[in-house]
Amino acid sequence: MGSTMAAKILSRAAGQSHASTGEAVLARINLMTCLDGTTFIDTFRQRGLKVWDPDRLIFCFDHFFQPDWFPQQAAKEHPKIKSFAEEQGVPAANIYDVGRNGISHHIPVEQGRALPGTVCIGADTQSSTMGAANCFALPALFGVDPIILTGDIWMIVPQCVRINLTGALPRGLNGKDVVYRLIHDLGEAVGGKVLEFSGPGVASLPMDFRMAIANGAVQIGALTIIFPYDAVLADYLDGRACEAFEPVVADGDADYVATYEYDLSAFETLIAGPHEIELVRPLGALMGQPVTAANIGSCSSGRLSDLRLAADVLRGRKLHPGVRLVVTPISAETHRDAARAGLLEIFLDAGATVTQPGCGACYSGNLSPLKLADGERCVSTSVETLRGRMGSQDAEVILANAAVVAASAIEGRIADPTPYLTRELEASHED
Amino acid sequence: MKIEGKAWVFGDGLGATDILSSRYDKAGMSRDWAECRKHLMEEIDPAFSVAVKPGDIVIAGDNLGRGHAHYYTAAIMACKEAGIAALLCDGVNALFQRGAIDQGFLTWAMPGISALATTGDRLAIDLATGEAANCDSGRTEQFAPVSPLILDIVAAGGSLDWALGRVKTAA
Repeated sequence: MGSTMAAKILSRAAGQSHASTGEAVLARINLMTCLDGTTFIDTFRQRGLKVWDPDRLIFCFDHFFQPDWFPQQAAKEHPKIKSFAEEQGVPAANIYDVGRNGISHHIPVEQGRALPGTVCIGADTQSSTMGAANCFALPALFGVDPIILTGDIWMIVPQCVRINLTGALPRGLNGKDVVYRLIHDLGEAVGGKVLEFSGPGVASLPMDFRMAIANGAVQIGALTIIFPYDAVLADYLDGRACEAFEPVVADGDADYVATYEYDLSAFETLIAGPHEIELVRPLGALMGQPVTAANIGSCSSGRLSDLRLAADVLRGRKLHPGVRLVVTPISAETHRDAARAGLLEIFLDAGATVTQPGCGACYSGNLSPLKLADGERCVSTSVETLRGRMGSQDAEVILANAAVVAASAIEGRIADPTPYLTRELEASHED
Repeated sequence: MKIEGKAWVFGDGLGATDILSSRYDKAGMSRDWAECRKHLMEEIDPAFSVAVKPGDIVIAGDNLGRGHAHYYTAAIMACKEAGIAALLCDGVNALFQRGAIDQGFLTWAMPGISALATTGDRLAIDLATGEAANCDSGRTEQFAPVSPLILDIVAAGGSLDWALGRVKTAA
């Protein structure tokens, strides 16, 4: 029986010729990426510890946490990270401060630090995003300390499921619709397993879409998601990759516990929520429900292709007067690209506001002007739909792609973006 | 490593927010584990948090630890705070399991274990060999042993202390 991409990456990182499913291994990591809510700095200082390799530790300022229960600490977090980095010899270039910042698991892909064939760990829950770059990416959550102390991570070689794609997504759909479809279809069947993508349909997915799909591992219930190395990824990494790398390819007879076949051209626009992400339905199910808030951003969206999709809908139009729309680019680079492409002007002309890049309104503890009040319904491209996630426990969050959010912000109710979409959108697939 | 204690048996799909409701997110984010512990299983078994004793063993069905990882640590630490000996199940979400083992709280899948006991039975389990016995019914089962690497981490009190030990040994 051949090996999956996950088993190949982990056995290589463990210095073994082979690793079997279920085997516990110690895998060498290539990168640790941290958000701006750290849990290990005090431990390292109090115990006089040194990180294993300062060059491979990066910090990305993204959440700008402002929860009401630790305002003092929140104000000190960024300076604390910077002084810690200096003490540890972490290069200044590894601190993605405002102006260069972005979400902690997007930045490593965008900046060519999450590389094919390697193990890349992030502190954030959504760190599987990096799996779009053919790496084994995992959130460390509160387990960062031992990993940055030793530079390795214990892993039980996971079971893998293959997702074989054909076709291409219809216009106006993106990675979020793929995630919702997989949440709907697979859910507990893939719990704790790795999803490995394959098939001719993968080539139709630009990197933005792949990152949005890989981002959804936790919501789907999977351990992580790995995309194959192909021409799209090779082109993307050309000029970005910060060092040489060796991709992995799954063996033809790789040990998958299941294979699911999907024709992307048969996908439709889906919505998730309220309150439970497993509540995935076709857009029509909630069409016409009034909304007062709209959010475009977060690590599952907020990329240039998402912003292009929203701008295509909003170009020359105005928001419904009862709706506030907040747009948060995923990174400073995306923010600049959106400015160059004229997208920010479209948002501002429509009556939206654009915030500093990062996680934005997705979590109510983040610095964002969008907080939901009692009785509100928000349509959002973000990650979670749980009660209280974006503010009041008595508000609803409906999740959808950026086109649906933009169309809904225009109409003041959940709306179908199809009538608003133009042919100019095709350019988004080139990003 | 052997554990013996009273079993609390839950079904399939015991999620992190079943173990500790998301309404206690604030306590979790503030790392107030004592407060989290008071609300263990509150929405599925209101008597649990009062009745559970140190050394008790929680048994779940398949798909233990489903849900958003943001809520894992508070759920795990609340269990640890209550002195629960281990969380054993038919199947576990690998990320939830990682969070638990990193905190030195053994969470391990032994497929079939949920059929070995009902709530209130006394269980004795040798983790290193995988031998499990229901002391009340007399029934025994042989499961796959827990990996020595994992038992080392749990025995050290979690992955940080385990890593510190390795660094010290290397130096």
